[in-house]
Amino acid sequence: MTSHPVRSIAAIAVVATLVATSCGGSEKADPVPQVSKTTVAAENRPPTTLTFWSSFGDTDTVAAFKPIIDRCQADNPWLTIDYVAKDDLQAAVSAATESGDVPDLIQGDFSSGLAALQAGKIVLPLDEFADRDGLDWSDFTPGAEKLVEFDGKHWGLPLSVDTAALFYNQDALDEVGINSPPTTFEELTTAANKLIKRKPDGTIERIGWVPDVGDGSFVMASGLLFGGSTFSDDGKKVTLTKNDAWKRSFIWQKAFYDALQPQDRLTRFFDSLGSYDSSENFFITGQVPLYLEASYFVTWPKRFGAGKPERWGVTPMPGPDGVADAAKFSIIASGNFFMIPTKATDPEASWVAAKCMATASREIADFQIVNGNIPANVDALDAFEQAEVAVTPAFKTFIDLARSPNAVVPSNGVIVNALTDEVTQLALDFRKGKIEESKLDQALADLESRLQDDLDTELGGQ
Amino acid sequence: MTDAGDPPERTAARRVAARKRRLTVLLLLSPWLIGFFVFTLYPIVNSMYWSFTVKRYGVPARWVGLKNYEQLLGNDDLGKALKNTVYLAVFGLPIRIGISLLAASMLARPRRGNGAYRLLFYVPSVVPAVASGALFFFLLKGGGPVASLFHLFGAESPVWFADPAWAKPALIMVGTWALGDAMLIFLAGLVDIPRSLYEAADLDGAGRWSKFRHVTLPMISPVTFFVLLTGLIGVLQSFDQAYVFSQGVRKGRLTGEPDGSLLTYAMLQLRQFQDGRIGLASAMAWVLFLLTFAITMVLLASRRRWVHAASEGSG
Repeated sequence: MTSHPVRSIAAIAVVATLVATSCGGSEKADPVPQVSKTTVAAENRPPTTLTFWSSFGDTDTVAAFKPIIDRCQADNPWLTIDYVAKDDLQAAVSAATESGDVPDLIQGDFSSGLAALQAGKIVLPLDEFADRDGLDWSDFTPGAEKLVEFDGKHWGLPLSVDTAALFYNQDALDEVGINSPPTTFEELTTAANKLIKRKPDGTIERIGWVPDVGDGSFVMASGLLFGGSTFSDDGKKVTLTKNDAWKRSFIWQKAFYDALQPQDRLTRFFDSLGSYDSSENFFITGQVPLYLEASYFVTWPKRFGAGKPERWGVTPMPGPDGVADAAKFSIIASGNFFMIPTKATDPEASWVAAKCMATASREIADFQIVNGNIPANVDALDAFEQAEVAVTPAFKTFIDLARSPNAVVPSNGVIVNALTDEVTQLALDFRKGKIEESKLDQALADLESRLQDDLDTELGGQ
Repeated sequence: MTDAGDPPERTAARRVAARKRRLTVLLLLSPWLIGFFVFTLYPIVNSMYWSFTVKRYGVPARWVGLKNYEQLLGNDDLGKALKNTVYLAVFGLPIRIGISLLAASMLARPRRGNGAYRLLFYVPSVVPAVASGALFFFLLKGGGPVASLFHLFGAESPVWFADPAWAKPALIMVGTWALGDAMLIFLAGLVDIPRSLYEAADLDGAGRWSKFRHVTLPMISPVTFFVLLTGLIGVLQSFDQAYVFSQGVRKGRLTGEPDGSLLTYAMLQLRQFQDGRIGLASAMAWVLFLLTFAITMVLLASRRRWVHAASEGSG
């Protein structure tokens, strides 16, 4: 019997596909490496080169980071740290995990991705290393420590934290008879309404304060401002209706937009705002005199504004009780930290490098002076404060917020991005009147139920 | 085939030769076959399998049956994204095809400077989609050159990106600007029409419109069909410009509509990939494929009604 080439090819195709699929389908999670009970003495270590993936890519930042690496290599002569900048670090780490070709150490902002990293067994919990070597977590600010915690474990060593504070234009406040920046929700509302400036035809020239300039980027933080949460500590429950914080925050946000109606005027105002990182920035031009932003923005007036606005400052946002007090409340929205991939070739060496780089206080302070973020290490923060506040007093508020013993951080869950999108959308719909206030409770409950179902599917039997 | 009268050794030799031929064919085909199996068939089959699982980076896939598809159908985002995509197809494609055909018709006639014009029309289509998206974002954003032009005439420019009603027309504009590839295909189709047909129409006293309606359109109908089909598939999978617009919008803090004024289906899919939800993203990919397949089938079925058979055969 003569077999046909097409049939042969088809047969090969089927077999190859089945083999390939079965290879993909039968993949097994690698076992988590055991942490050695004792630390290996430096003199007994063989020369080791670690591949270190970092999210810092631009030349100035990399150059500023280099002394941290140099310090750790000098302290550990057996260690060579091979720095590799990755544009999209999370995607690179995910792909590397799937292919098995992982780096030895990573550094970046994974603050909203801890649950996914844990679920994928992508990085190692560091508690065993830390306990064994007597790492004192109080060497880091309380908020920074919370940021790397999930499900009762520490997944990283913090490098920096991102806090947000209210930037105010004192000249604009003076213009409407307000002598000092708002420190309560009431004062913020009063200032926001007084600062609104319109042309005779109703066109908005200046707004006072809005939670975000229309893109919903403040929705999640505003939930935290009112004491809301998204996931339970173990990331297994969606907790949007745990209290009425989300509802109250939605109503609070909406009032600011209502004061700026009609919507088409507001939309046109937002559309007219110039490029963010330029002299046309809306805070520099005075179009938005009250603005919530992270510490890096401190450099903006000098960098882009050529001295404008002339008189400005930074003050903490009011917390859940409606009063601003950095000691009582701050939000650590995100941060940078070092993590050790589960499949790192030498996790012990990675730990030594991570620990060294996260605690090289002098070098970290110098690095953050260039980078504009707030150090997570307490000693580095002290050094940063001494060096920077005299030059740029506005940093003081951010340093106080970073030190807050009552800092809150966003909670973690494997569907955090989907949840963020859905909650943001709900808030925007509410702002625009698409959902009535009387139906907000039900809308939040429905959303929670849908997201919980989604989360249960993702987690399965975990 | 073997002859019944052939001696056994001759039959065996023929079999050996036939096997050698088959092996040679397989060997020659193997570079392509390996590429096909590894880079096309395997990912297709694997994504089909993953669409029925919860799959995250680094962990084995877990079978969940139709759960991903149920989740997709129960999510408003899918409907919004599809509505936007249909809008782009219904309004954007006819405009693109119409202008491409018009441009090709003008450039098909031998005239001085035609080459330069053809080049000018074609150049935008070699500009990467991301770059053209960024360019149009710069042109259309509030306070940009287009808004300034409106102001010059005392009018207010549309709010292109912050208003969902204008975001999709902006996307259509970018798509229409880069019409060089469609124009080039039409141009080839127009040049291919036998002059004798126009001469015969002239003898019958046909005017310009009649010639276009009764000669040009039927003769280029296979080309139109091709442009329509590829354009439709392109729209269904459109991603880059919408992505650039929405990134610009978000970075530019301009819009109150991240809900899908711009989001296309592919963008939703990307979000799932970024979230590491590979199972859900795979299910989305299959829904998109089935949708594309169904529309393609409908178009193919409609071909007999409006695609001119003779020109199709000759072309």
